[in-house]
Amino acid sequence: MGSPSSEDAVSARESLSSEGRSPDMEYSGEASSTLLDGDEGSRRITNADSSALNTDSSDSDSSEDTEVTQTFTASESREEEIDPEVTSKDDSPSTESKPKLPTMEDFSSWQRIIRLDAVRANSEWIPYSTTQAAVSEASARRSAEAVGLKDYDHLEPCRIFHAARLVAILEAYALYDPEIGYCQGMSDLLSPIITVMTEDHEAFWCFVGFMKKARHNFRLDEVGIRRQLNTVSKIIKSKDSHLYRHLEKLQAEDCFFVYRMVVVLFRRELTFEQTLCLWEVMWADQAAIRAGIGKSAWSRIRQRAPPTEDLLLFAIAASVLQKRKLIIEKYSSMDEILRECNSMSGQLDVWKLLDDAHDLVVTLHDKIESSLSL
Amino acid sequence: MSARRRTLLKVIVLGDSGVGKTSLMNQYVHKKFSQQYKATIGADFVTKELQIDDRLVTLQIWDTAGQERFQSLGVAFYRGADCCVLVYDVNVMKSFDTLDNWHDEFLKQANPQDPATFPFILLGNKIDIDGGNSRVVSEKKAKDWCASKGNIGYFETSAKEDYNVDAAFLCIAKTALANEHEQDIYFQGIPETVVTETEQRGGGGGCAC
Repeated sequence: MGSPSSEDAVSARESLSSEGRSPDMEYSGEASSTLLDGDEGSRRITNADSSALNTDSSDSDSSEDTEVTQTFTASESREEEIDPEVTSKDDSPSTESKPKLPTMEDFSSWQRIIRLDAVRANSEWIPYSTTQAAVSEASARRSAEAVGLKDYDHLEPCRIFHAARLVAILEAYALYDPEIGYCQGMSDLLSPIITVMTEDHEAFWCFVGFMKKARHNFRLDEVGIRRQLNTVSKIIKSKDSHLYRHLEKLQAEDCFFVYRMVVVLFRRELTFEQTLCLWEVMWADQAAIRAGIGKSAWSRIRQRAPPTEDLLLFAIAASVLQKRKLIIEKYSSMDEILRECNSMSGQLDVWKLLDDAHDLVVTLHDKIESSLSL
Repeated sequence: MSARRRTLLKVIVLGDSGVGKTSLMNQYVHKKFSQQYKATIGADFVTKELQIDDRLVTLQIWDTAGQERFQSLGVAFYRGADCCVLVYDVNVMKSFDTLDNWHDEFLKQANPQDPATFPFILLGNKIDIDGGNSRVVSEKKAKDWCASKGNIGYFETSAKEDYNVDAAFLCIAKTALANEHEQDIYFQGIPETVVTETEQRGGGGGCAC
């Protein structure tokens, strides 16, 4: 029945040490070498093509590849060919400054947190993968043992199995991208992927593609998250000066209240199905940009929103703007707005959200883009 | 009277991932327990009204992400705190070892007026696990640590079994209130003593207040 075996999980990790060099994830030599032993070190200087294109030192995660289909249909050996077309100016881990923040995180602490998060992943995915939901107990336990999972006795087999897959892929990712390693929230991003993809090695590369953009959310220097909060703030400011002035009055104009939406791309606020909708629309925009569907072509079709790298951020701003009346009239502290945002879970209409986001894109796209490039 | 001006008490709960911060808060406020609380991303809070010595206070308890990767979060959320609750898992040594970091990092980021007297409370959680057999941090060790930090209050808790949770949070509320009171009347001397409540149940530690 095509249910993935635990061997898949292991193979995802093994593929890393053999030939799965992170093709377009370059590291400036010393940035991460302390985290891994020698055999991983060589991959940081594997290909020159991406670094040649990576000229922009800004953090901006606004133009990176998340083209999932492309990534996973490609065999690992093809990764290098994909690289040039998906690499853009901002995909530049190589120019990231080395995090200076005090951190005691090493692989073993990532492992511990990965297992913790895997075991407490929710069960929302179950209706969307009947084959994985029907996994036998024996098979689930085998997968769990293969990755050294513990404390899962309270879980049903399908959830044990899901947890084991999360562990296998997240550990592999932590090795693959040691600068990011594991950060809480990444399991939220991976869970939908392994639900729709039954093979671990495919899911892994798919996740790698997803993380090219999303990894900036988890950077220790916080540049990625700050840029995005800043963009949300600019969108709100441009669209609704009244609301923005209210936020300023509450010292909330930094939009920290949408932090969680940004970090896990609305995963916590939307249902499983809604999340896939939003993500796929986002990916479609990003694919359109990569395909060269530029602004000029779109400006002629005036009713339509041009594709944007920041659709997520427009959607986040839209979700806040939907609450503008409540915020302005009733809320007198940042705490209350944060509370409102955190309790949007299950309350959102993803199509309305996308409509509102696209309306914002139509009116503000040029303004936001140009103000960000200044 | 200035002390009555504000009855909102802001409490920040810190500690490593998986020690049970969210569970403790939910047990206290909603009287429920789940093994499936997802990792907290960013920060969130719950509130609870309670009465302390004729005063009605709103306890605003902030839950934070246990993986302290993002510094700016601290600045945004720790500010204005009246008390900081540190949580560790009595079965995980590392979660105890990192308490110093949480303690220092909080003071650095919250930047309270008087760091030396800013109130902390320590909770040793998950004492129910394996009937206590998998415990690796002794009560004495925890209390010694508390003593070294200026005699901060210590409670051993089980969010799962709802053991000592109310007592701990009552103490937290009183400690926060005492601190808030001091701030209000610009009294920077010896911490105000508050009459010990009789509700405090169970063993495993106590409260400086």
